Amino acid sequence: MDKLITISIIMATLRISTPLILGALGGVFSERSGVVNIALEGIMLMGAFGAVVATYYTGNPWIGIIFAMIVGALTAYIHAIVSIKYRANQVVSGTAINILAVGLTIFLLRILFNVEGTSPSVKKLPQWFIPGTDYAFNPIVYIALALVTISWIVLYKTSLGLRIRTVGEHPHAADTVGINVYKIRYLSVIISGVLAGLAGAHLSIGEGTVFVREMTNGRGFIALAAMIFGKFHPVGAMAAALFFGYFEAVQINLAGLIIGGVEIPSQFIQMLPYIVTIIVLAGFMGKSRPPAADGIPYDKGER
Amino acid sequence: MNKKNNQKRLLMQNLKKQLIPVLAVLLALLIGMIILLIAKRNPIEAYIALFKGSFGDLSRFGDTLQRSTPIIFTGLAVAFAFRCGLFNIGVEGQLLIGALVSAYVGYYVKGLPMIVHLPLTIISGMIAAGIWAAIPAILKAYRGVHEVITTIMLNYIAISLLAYSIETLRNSPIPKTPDILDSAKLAKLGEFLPFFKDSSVNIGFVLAIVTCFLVYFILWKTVLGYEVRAVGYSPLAAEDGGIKISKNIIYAMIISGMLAGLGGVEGVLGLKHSLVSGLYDGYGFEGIAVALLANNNPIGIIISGILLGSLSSGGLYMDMAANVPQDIIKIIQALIIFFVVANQIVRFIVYGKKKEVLL
Amino acid sequence: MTSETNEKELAKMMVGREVILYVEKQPPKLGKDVLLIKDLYCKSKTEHNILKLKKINLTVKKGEILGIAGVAGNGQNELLEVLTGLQKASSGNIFVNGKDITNISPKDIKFNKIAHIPEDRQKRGLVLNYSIAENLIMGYHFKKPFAKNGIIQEDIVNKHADDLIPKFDIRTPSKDTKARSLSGGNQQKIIIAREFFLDPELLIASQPTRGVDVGAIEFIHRRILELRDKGRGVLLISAELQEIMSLSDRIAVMYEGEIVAIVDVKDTTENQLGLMMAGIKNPKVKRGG
Repeated sequence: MDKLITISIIMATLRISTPLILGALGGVFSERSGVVNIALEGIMLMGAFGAVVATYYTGNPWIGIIFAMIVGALTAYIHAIVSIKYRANQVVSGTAINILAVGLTIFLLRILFNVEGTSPSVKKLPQWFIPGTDYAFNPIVYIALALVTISWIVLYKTSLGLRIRTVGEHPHAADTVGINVYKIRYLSVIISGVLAGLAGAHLSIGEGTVFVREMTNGRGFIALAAMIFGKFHPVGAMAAALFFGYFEAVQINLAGLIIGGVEIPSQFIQMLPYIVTIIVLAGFMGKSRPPAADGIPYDKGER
Repeated sequence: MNKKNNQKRLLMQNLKKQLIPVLAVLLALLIGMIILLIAKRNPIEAYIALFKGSFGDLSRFGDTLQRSTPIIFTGLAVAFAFRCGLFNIGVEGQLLIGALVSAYVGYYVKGLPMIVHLPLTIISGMIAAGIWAAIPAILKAYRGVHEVITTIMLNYIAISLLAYSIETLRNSPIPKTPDILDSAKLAKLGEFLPFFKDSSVNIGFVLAIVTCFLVYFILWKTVLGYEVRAVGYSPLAAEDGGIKISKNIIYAMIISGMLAGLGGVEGVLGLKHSLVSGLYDGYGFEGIAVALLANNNPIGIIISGILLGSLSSGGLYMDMAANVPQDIIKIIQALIIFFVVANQIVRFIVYGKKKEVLL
Repeated sequence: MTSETNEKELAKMMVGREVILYVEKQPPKLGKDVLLIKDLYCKSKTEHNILKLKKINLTVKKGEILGIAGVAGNGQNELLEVLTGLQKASSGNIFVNGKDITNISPKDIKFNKIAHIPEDRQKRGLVLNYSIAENLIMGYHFKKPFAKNGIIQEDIVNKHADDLIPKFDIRTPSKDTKARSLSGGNQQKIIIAREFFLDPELLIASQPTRGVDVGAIEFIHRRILELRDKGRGVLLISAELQEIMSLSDRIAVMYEGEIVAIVDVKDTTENQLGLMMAGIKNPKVKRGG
């Protein structure tokens, strides 16, 4: 039991869950307005890369964070145009962004830094200590936790949040009341891009100092699963993200684990977060309903 | 008089439809050129190297055909699923499972003549991949879980399984499993067609072409295909007509998985004769581009598969010859997908449909 | 009297001949019950404690048309779906020619000689992207002679289309035209052709002439009457009172999921029906099944 819960595992969970929390929050905004955002994985990757590039050229990781958010917003904007304006299938568009992100980041690694898979090292973000303890996290971890509360407030206590939710459930009704469905959706998708970009920054300059090709490694998708598991609610998404993050955190402690006299291979332990995701979704899907208009492109002319 | 006008209109509509993929590719190549210019590379040199790399001589042409083989299979897989209204992003994982199982059966099942061993190996790879695809299908049909996330999770699990297999089976420092037995190998075409002598293209390519026609037959000439397409076009109308939606979703995903698995099988039995780390990266996603470019038509996939395969195989050469990172090819692929999919707007004008059209 | 005359004149000018808006029909030659619905209840799909159908008791005899009158949303949809296997009944029974067919699958419904015209032809009735020929076999596409060993027999399918298209007056440039390109009336005729081919014992028709041009309305009404005169049973669900009154022999009124009245068409008027459809109970009207 001591292998499963220790202070260091809890700390590791927080650290590892941060990109999942941010990604899931981003997903919540986007899907609540009715746009399926499979592109979170690619946007996160672009954000991670952007953070390293900006920090490389300015020497300042804070500029790295800002640039990551800008890059995230821009990438999300592409998804928004293709899905909202051109009413393309949102899953296809998202997948294309993911492919684009992988190709573009590796391409730019060659062009900008003349390297094959790993960027040069850059200055990482500072570590902020929790007052009175020995434990520290990079700023993005704290920002992420704060954003959960902020997201909840925005989504449920402001008129913007109400508009976003209405657009996702009854876009035609929202339209009749004068809400600009397209604008709200663009905004929500861009918000999701900013959050995912931030998540990417955490990966590259929050915990480490480099960008590695394809470093998101499925986290964008696990974030989506957390969003669904969290019933499209900011706090639920955070809880689910922590749940999934835990399984990655505990991996290291489980290395060399022996069950029934057989040593569990490391690759199987690596699979744990993914297997858990499937089991959780299979068990809970009946109770998690996406917004009514989720994934359906809005056509103003349609009755 | 009216009939002739109608025929003419239908022809124009069809022509417009065929134009979209061509425009998409041209636009993507154009933007690729712009990116190369910004990156201070010579786009003309790059594209010439690209062409030479894929079609320069017969041996390279053969290599292009080989490179096209797995993505023709994954393209068919994606297209088949799309025809049932499903998006199978799990093709990456299903391909890996096909490769994995065929590597095991090809190596461990000893003492069988080729006439038994080879088909057995191929079929076991197919079935394993089919099962891999059935999991998300059943979860979707009976628990309503969106297939996108489950398939992607299974992709990552498959990657880990592959790493595990290579780790445990390898008999040398090279990250690959031991070679399969000769009785399970797909012969190179060079053994029958001398002009492909130095090329890696193997019978798997012929298998791919045959499979394209087979898939066409299934979709348009069989009851299964009739039902699958009906569910894809109008699930409510299909249900009203007595067609079981869940049954067809599962069948479609299983067949889709089997097709993707064949892509992995070819790589193991025909190209490398073992399971090699990193060989299959991205074949699944390339399959999505292949399917979309061909408008999910199995015969069109032959063309789009070879086209996209030529981009990838020429890309290797372009990298060496013109110092252009071959990852520009991935960027061009993503752009192609964008333009095909954003060009749905033309479909709008043609069909006036309210929801986005994928088929 | 004037409004009727104007309608008739207009219709005549549109179609080019006398259009029968009020169909003239023979008195019904009634036979045994072809449809018997007994104490049928049905729960809502979304909220499980709400009943959408309450204690439905109906019969349709061979040779008669039973009309269901009611404002949309009073349970007609659910009734149709339960009768065609798309929704499960929570209790009660449905008998067709004496056989209990409660809760059988939509596939088997057809093979019990029950045909139906769904309310929404574009969503439920047709695969719009399929050709006319492909739509004409929907429901029996897997049966001989249309399919053998799982393979569709194209020449039979084509011949089937070539037979039905003129027979049911489907106006189209070709049998390979996609259903989406046809007018509402012609789309409806495809569905009718497909269903009537089964030579049904019972036809359930929901809003059969909604959004359909006048000439097609007449055609569809005539075919429904032909079926009735052949000694089959028809359950007609419609929001068009004129249509109900002109085609039906008996009329049942649905209100809030219940049958609130069943009357002979001779014994009632549009006004009275309208009142009952609004939930106003009329003591002069016969109740029950």
